[in-house]
Amino acid sequence: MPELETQLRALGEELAWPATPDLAAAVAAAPRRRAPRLRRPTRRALAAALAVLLLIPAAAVAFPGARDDVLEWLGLRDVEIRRVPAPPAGTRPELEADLGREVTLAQARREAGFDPALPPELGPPDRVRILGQRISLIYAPRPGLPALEGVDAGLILTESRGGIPGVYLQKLLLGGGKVERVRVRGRRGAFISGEHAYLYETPRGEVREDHPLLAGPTLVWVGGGRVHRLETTAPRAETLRIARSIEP
Amino acid sequence: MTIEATDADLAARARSGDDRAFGMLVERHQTVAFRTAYVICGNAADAEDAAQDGFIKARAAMGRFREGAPFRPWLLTIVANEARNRRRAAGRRSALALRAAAEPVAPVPLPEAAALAGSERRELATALAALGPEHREVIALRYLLDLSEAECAAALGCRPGTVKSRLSRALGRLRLELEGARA
Repeated sequence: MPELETQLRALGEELAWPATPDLAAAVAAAPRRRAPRLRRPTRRALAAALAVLLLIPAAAVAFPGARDDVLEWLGLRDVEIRRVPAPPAGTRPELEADLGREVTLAQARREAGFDPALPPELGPPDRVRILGQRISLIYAPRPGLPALEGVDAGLILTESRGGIPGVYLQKLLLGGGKVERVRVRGRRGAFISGEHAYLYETPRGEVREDHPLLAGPTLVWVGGGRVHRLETTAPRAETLRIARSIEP
Repeated sequence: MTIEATDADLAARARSGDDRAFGMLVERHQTVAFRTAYVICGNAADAEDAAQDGFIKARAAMGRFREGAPFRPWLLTIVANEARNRRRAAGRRSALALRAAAEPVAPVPLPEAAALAGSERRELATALAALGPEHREVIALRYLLDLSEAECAAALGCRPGTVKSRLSRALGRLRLELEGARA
């Protein structure tokens, strides 16, 4: 064997690696997770909605009945919930770059293979980002749309196609949030405000984490075969009005 | 005489829901999983999280594990993926901190390199730490952890052929670093 490789192997044997933690005990103590069985397209789309967003209220966690009610509404009763004391590494919402590459609207249409619906009153977005088949339309702060924390945006509308085949979900909860059922053009949705939690997704049965997203008050709904996620600090009524103005 | 169960035996039992069998797989592979994550993350706390979550996700995914396939590369794929996610997140945090404090970000350290005895070993560790992450990782996985090429490929998310070519380039780069240090 060449000398350098020999030296490297010797180095590996001499290194003072950090002590291996007792993972066996930690893993044994962790609850089992299982992927939800998604039978109907609507459920798939809603699962994708939660994959795109994720927030569930601590209040709901404290009262399992309320939590189950919300999950039932979203069609995700069989999703496991895990409470964590703080966001896991990587779920800091500050960077807009987490929403993907910046592209033009035309590029986003071509790459994602669908035409994102625009809020009529806001018109074309100031910036567009794409991550996989998820398009984020970013609108700069303006009167009525105060800046979201950590980004130069007053409103972010993320759209992706519903119907991810096979979804593995995990919700990570923090304290002090609130989730309300809402209707957007007759479709089920959820308006989430307060503290945040995140969800991981794994399409096609792969086990991996999704990128974290920004985290302001958020409205999620499904319409026209797509999952919509609208994030803004505008008042709830204004947020709903904007959402309802969007043609599916 | 006690005959130790093979990975294949344990994986087959774990697939059918035998948590004890999966626990034995964890005990058997937790060190290599943790160290693989450490090579990628560069710190023990993230490595521990990555390895632990990797095992938990592997357990949840055992139904998709192909019977007869080697368990360790499959596991390392999951753990390394978790580790890369954490490294990306740490990079984002570092970028933020950099903007806020205008301080340089420290390179990912080798494990306790300062504790090494012998100037040659220290020199080698220093040269290795100076490589870019792609080169440093493939060398660390292949030689420091003594993973097979197939296992390296699984951990790096590439083909075995790519491991060979990347290793070759990485070793060339390492030699240059050493020559520069000794010049």
